[in-house]
Amino acid sequence: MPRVLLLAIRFHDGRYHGAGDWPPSPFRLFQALVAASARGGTLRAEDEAALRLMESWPAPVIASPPSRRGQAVSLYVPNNDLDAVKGDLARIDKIRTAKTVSPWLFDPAIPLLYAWTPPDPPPDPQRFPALAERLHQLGRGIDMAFATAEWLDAETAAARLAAHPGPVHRPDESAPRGTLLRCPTAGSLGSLLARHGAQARRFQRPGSGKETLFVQPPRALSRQVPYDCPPTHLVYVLRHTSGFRLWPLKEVVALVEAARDAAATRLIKNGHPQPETIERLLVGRGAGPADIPCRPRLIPLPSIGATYADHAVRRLLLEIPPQCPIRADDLDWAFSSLPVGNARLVRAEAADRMLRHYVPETGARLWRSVTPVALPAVERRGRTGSERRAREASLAASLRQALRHAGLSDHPVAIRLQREPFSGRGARAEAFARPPRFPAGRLIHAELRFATPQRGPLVLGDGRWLGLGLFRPIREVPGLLAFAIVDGLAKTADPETLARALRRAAMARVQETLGRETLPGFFSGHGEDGAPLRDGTHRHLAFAVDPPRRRLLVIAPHVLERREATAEERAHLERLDAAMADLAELRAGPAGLLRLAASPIEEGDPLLGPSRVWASLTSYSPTRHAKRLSPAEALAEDCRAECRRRGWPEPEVEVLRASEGPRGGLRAELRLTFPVAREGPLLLGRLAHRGGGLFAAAP
Amino acid sequence: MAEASIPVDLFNPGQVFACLGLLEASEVLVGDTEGGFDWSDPGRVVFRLRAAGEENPVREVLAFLAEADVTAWLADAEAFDIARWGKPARKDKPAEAFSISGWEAKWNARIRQVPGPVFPFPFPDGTDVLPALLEARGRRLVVDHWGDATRRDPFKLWAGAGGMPGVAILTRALELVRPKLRDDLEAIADDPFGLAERLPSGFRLDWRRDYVALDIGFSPNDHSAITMLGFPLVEVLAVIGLQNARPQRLRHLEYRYAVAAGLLPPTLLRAALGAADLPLAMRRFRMRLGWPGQEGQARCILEAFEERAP
Repeated sequence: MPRVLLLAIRFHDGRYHGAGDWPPSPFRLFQALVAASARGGTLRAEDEAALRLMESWPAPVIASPPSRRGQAVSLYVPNNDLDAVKGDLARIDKIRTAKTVSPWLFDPAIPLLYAWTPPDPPPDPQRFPALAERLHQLGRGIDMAFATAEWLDAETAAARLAAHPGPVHRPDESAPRGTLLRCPTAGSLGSLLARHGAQARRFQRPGSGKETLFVQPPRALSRQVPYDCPPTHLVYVLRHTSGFRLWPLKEVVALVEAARDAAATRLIKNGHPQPETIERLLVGRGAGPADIPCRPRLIPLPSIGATYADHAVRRLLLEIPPQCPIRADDLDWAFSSLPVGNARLVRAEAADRMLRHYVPETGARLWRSVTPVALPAVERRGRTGSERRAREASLAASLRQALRHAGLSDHPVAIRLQREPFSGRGARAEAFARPPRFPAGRLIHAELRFATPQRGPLVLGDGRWLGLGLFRPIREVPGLLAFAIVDGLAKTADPETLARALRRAAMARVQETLGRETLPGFFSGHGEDGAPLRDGTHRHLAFAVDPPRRRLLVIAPHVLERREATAEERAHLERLDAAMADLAELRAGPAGLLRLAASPIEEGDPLLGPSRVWASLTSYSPTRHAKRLSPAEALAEDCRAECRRRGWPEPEVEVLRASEGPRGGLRAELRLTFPVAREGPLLLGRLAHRGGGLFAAAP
Repeated sequence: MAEASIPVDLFNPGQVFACLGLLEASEVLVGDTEGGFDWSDPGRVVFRLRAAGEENPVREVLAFLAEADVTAWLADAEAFDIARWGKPARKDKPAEAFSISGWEAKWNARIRQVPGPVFPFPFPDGTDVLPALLEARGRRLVVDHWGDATRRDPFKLWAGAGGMPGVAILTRALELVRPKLRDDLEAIADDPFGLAERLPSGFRLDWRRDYVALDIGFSPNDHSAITMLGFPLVEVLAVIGLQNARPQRLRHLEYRYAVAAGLLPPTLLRAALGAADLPLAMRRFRMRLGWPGQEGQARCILEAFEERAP
């Protein structure tokens, strides 16, 4: 029986100019449907009946395309006050006012989905697809859009939402916080009709005088519903009389079971009105797949952070999802002062510092397990290399499945599995074994690298309700960002144009995070006076293009110079990483409108070497032209001088191809042979920061 | 005990504040007052007011306002400080000495000098926040919340020290409605918030009058032939209502307010207005404010949303 009305809205252009909300609120969509269904100033009775039904439905689930805020622009527009300047168009500057426009940018090929689940089947279900077909605009007047609607059963609708490439926003009317979106409510349609009617009667002219009275039309009626509600996190400290109680890392399962069962008993014995719910959701007895998003979870937090941190467990994190029907204060009461072993759980007063080691503020790409992940059983030992490889592939597939079960849509780009812990104070996977449920063969430590930063806490695998599969984020300085060109590259695109577009995008995105602060020269390559940084230190970002592999690269100076990043550079790179995290589209002028995807560079990449022989990927431009030499000699000498300036050994330089521009500028493809193998990336020459002079390891 | 009920739009914060103003005024003028909102009929939400005596308490309050004499209070003891209120006639000229008679003539309002300190807040930089006293039949109502300098937000939306004093706005609003209150008190008492008048300036508490030019498409201010219709009784009663209760400030341009059902004493309704978590049947709203003119000056209420459906 179809129960879900799924509206798919597509924009003509990948921009949305509506003020205030993203994704467009359900009330805005409702307004657009009302406007679309009107015939002149009136609604047909059957449309009105359908809209009156719709206004009382629960808030819909929304799937929006991946998007980002465009640059805010102040447009100086005239108010409709030409009368005030006696109709003189030459004086229009007197009535101009600033109007700030900041569109949301997205891929117009990906639709916005709104999934409404009415409490009762409507008497005329096909009226809604007919209403949707007439929609022509959503947002401001320039946001032209069209819509389709269909009735689906719940499973198909859920599958359509799961397959959507963008974020899915779920409402929770009872949540204390979240992103507030306006939704229609009982009376919304009436208020819109009243407002429309009053709009025409805003001006009244009493008597025969010249005076005009102005009265504002009444406001439209809507309600605000929290979306994307974050879970509640409560931290409890294991205490006994002399301070912290240290629980052994290997016994995390026992700790969770003890605390969970004691809290459930306390709630039930004290007459909690939902004993079955406590059993099902808190203890997990009889819980089904539908209960997973509602289950509160206990996560032991081993002490980590400092090099000598002992990894003993001193804290328990209680994570309460917004959909959990058990009240957060009831759960807090149950866990507060709860005796566990010879300790008591004491609620940490503020946001606990240890929690920050597991829940990074800006997310992280690299995660390593602290407690091993429990995966479906796989034959442990392989006799041959191929058997072992097959086993590891099977474990990696199980881990991907575990990520999906945990609700993470992003797949890791690299997985590393091992029995040994990732830190010296950790414990081997086998040490956590608790047969028969978690035999040693099911447990393994994992390292996951994601293309985009992920928020914590990250808990994966079959033991995620019992403290197993807990990951910690690893802070990295992203020295090399790479983006694969998925689509849209023009055949005639040249690397310099692409690098220029990438530089522009990076600068704009970073500037957006800085507000009115001046963009540091690290990003722009220009000093405070606006002049290019030409001190020869190369202490700013390089933007490069790898044509054979269709990649765009942002390379940090410390990577080019093979040194540690300074503290200032680390801060800049973290800002850059956050700003570029969702770069999916690049407008590169004649080089095309590029669709990009993050593409981390892995070990063995030809740009990284190591190799003795390196060949040009993009043209080398000399820094200066020694005129007494032939072009080939001049290029070779310039390249050797570049290497000397960087403190590298001088290579043998072979000019494979050279050309001279109309004004004598040289370009060449070179092959460099160093006396010893070198690691990349190698960027040399005058255009090293702007798309030229990139080398790859040659066979 | 006499009881009255009047229609109210809960999505218009000014009307909610005005309901509290009726309650506060009735408590002072009549006594033993209780009030509360009734939304059992979604098509006709009302504010109920019950007070001692046999007379309709709404009519009692309106009759008081029809007769009330409005004055600004200034203490003799504090008079030495008023020198700082002097303004230059032109920007390039030195400030002139502040003259009480000049001020009265300019704003068509009166200052009453009284012995002893009167300011419940630090001596103000301008005359815009002078405490106002409404007096009639030997009874008094004080309005001075707009100068509140405690931790509480004064919720003063109209422009700053150079603008029109609150006393002058109050005086003009009452002058506009006085004739109608005298002639048609019974009808107005049934729906006081529907009384519209040409209101050149107000406290910006009723969104039906105030506007942001970009939102309505033009600036009525620039058209001498256009007059805004305002709702003076809402404005006057709202500032009385804000005397002992304020909406909860979330951000500079975002506030929360709430209403409670039933017949409740003023203390509970005041707490409810500030969105306190009370064990009562309540509805919570959030209002968004905007800048009708330059940013950082006057604010006006743009819209209100209900946080959760009843």
